[in-house]
Amino acid sequence: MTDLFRSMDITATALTAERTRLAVISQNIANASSLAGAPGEYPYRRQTIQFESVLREARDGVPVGGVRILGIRSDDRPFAKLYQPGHPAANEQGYVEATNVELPLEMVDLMDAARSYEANLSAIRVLRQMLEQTLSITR
Amino acid sequence: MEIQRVESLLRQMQHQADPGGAKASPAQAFMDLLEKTSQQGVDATQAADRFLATGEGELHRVQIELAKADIAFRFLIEIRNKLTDAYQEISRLNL
Repeated sequence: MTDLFRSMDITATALTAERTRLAVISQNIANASSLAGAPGEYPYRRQTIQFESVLREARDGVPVGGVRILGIRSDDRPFAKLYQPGHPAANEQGYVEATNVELPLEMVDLMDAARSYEANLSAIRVLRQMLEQTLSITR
Repeated sequence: MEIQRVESLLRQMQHQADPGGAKASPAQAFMDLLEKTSQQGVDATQAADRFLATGEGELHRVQIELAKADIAFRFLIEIRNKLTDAYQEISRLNL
């Protein structure tokens, strides 16, 4: 029975991964306008998520496993600088360090995550259809 | 000659279907399948209950468990249909 539903189990790991990716993107978007709290402090750093494939070969050579989250890392790109002389966190030149999140990039990532999620759902739907059609052999 | 060949083939098939040698009757096999399918349904319902009650687990995992139980149940129904068909076929035999 587990063999039969193997691809469903693989897809389940991908759905989990994509959902976590969405959480990371949400976090980035939520903090897109955050500034440093005080002079010399750093604002929110954009987070990126890394996936890793889990490929163990079963005895018949068919892959089992799926994908898992390798880690969530900070994006080391430089922070943006906003000219806001009145801001409590502004330096002598009047600049405040702002987060390195770029909203257009996050939006593209968002679409990518949504499409990937859909693609995995399609894989489940197709497996279901295949199994249901197989059941109709005896009809 | 032909009959012998068919018989040996039959024995082979029986051995493949039941390598342990514990002659499971079709009824017993059906009961086992029923047991497993029922267990799958119970697992899925428990996963759904746990998700609803505590929010633990993930929606897609629950849905996938339900889909698995659904497929298993449909398979059981197909087997039942075949068995009842076979029974009716036999009961209609003219003696």
